[in-house]
Amino acid sequence: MNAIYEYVLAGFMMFVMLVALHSNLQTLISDTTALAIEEDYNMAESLIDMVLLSPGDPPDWSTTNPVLFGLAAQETIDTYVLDSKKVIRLDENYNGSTYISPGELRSLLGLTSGFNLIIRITPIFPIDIQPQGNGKYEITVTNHRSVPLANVNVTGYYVPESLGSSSERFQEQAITGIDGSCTLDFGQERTGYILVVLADLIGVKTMRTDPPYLGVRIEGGQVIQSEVPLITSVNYTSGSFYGLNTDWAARYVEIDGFTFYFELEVWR
Amino acid sequence: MTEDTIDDNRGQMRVIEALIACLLLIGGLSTATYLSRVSVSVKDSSINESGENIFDVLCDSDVVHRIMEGGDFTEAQLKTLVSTLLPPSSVFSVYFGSSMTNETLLNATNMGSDSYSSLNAFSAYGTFTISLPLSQVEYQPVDIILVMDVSGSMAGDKINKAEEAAITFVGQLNMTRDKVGLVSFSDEATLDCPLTNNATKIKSIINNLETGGATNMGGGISIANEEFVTSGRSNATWIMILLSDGKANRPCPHYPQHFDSCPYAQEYAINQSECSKVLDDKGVRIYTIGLGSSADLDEDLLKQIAFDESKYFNAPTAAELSEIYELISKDILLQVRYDVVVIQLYIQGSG
Repeated sequence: MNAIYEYVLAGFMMFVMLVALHSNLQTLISDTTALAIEEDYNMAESLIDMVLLSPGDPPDWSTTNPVLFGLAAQETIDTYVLDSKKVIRLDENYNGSTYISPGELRSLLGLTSGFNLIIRITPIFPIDIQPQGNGKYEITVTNHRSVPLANVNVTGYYVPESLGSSSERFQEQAITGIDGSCTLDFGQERTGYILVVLADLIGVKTMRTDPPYLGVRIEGGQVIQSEVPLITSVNYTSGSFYGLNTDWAARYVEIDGFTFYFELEVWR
Repeated sequence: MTEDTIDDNRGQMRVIEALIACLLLIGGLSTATYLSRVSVSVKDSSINESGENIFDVLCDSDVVHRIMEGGDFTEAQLKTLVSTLLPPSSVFSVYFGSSMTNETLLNATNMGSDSYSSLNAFSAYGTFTISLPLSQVEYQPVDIILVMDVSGSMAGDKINKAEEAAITFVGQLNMTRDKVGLVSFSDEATLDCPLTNNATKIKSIINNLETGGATNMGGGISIANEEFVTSGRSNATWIMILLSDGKANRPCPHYPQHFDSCPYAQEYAINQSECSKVLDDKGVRIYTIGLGSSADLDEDLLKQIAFDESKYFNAPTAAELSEIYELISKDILLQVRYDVVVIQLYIQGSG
């Protein structure tokens, strides 16, 4: 009789042990994965801070070839403030300065040819401008995850493209509703005029122009000429396909007074 | 004890041993799991990195200004902003307060009443020094005395432009609330117009100033001090604006040895300005304007009279006077609030 009890108990104990082992191993495996991801994450984290917190060498390399890559503005002590003249050199479509090729960037960052990277720079509040005709525009403001944003102060500047002082300038203001949109009405369509839209959420700003890529800025409530075109978004990549073990890191940065979301992905 | 009883006892011992071994195994596995979790939490630095970055965005002059100004949507806007900056499903609490007044400027959170673990969380504390111009309506009245140099060197374009700029300046004041007076100085100083809120009268007197003689700067300050004591209102801020194009050379006991500039006259002007600073316990705020090139002026003396270098202005030509008077009027009429804003941020990641 005792032997039967012993067998039953031994079977029960083995069952309990297997269940306990199974659940604990699951947790251990997931934790090990998390640790592995964390190690990879540290690499992207280190790289992003190297790119964003250093002005590079020489510090004013925007017009020359850098020896060391860094996008930080030279003349500021604030962190994560980037130099637009350096950032624009990652834009293949801009002809005004020499494009830094992905291969070149890889070697400037000290990465071997086995590594690939993506740099994405998007405005913190992407602005969508939809002309409605007769000088009326529907403006939609979202966040960088495409969620519509309410209560954003939107200011529209309808100015001559030449920015000449002889032509009349118009300014309209609105606040976005729950769907993130609002309307700017300038009364009538005007030939040779451009629209500059400034979205401001409690002092954090984003700007967009229609048509895009114009060399203008807003300073002291006035639209002024700028030698560097307004950065709408940058999508810089060194490879056309993803590999395994992709590392990712992101930061909020300031370029010309506007806030952008800077993402860096590295893989091999 | 029979054979069967011994076998039974041995069997029970084996069962107990097996149970203990089983418990030890489960205990060991659980401890290992707990320790690995702690290790992961400690190693998860991403929340700190992004937390510091978000704190950086909030410690911005424009953001702090907007929060200090307040408004209907400020709290909702701050919530939207922080939610945008954070990864989805994160919880946060952000506080902006004045360290000068201990007043809460804004407090925004999306946290419920549940308690949250301190693991995978970030908290930061920082201060931001800010100066914020307040609107004119909040100001107390001002009593202003214009102390103008009418020595011989001021003749011609200089006095014309100085008169023009002073008249424009008077036009910028709210004469239902503010008062203006005029003192001129050359060999001696005279009170040309006591403190008045009659804008037409003072403008007319300013327009008819005559030039000639030396530069008795100390005398001008002394007469202005007397007028503040006699007619200045106790609820008003007392302000003196002194304009000169030369060096103090009157009164001078060593004349004519010290013709252009006299140390005694300089000392006298400094003494009188020091009296101004403690006048009637409240003191007089003095602005000085040096008209002409630095070589012709005693800039050190004018800075000393103003007490604060930022209240001394140099106008190389008379054309710049209007701009300087405008700067002074802004400085007088727009009071600036200085504050040290305390910012506290607490965020907790989604996982």
